[in-house]
Amino acid sequence: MAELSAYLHLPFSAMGVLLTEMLTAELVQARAPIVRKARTDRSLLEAVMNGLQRL
Amino acid sequence: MDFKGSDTIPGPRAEDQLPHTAQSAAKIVIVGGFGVGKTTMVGSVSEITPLTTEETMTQAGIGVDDNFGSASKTATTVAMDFGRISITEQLVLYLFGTPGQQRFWFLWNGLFEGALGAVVLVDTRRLEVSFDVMGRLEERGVPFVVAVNAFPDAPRYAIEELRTALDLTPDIPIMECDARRRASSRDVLMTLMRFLHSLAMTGSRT
Repeated sequence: MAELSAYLHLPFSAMGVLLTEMLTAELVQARAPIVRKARTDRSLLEAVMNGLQRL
Repeated sequence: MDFKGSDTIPGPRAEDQLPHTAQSAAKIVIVGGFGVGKTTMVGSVSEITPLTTEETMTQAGIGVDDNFGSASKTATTVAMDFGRISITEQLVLYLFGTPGQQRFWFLWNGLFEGALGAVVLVDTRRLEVSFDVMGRLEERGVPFVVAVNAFPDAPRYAIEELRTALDLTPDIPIMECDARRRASSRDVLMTLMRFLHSLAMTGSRT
């Protein structure tokens, strides 16, 4: 969403309204992000650490 | 293609497009007071050309935005910076730099949803700006590490002195960094990851 609003030069909030409309009309798909759980998944953190090390 | 007057809006460059193999995403937020270098940090580690909604500071900001200590600063982030790092073919890490000015705090609500943790970027010349930011994070229960951006003309302090000055508990990592350098910014992210990892191990401070 941030990416879209930057490319389209639209305010973030306007993008939100537009995307919500588009979601309702099934024009776009939303994928659920990883949510921070009570305990963060250790394997995820380890994967991120490994990835950062390769930068 | 992307010059003024062109009718088409330039989309992402081919190499900036999210790979189709990406299945999941993790999010890290970089926060700090006004002018501490959040935009610089996102830019130095992001693998895509970072997207920024930075605008030139105008007359309207004079007297409203306190730019003490950064008089030469002519642009500031009005909404946010956005960067991305591919961790594996399936996993991407998103970086969000968020404005420090108090009047943009309403943006924080959506931004911290689902974030793994945060980096608080600090300028030693204006420590007081960081208090509000850290207070807000604690309120929200977002784990964070503190990175002191070493501006060339800023006074240097011992890390322990800064810890005391910032009133940080001993468990919160604090380090010096140079937001302009990729390796240095990466180390900050690594520190955050190790901190989150240790939290996950002990199960405390969720």
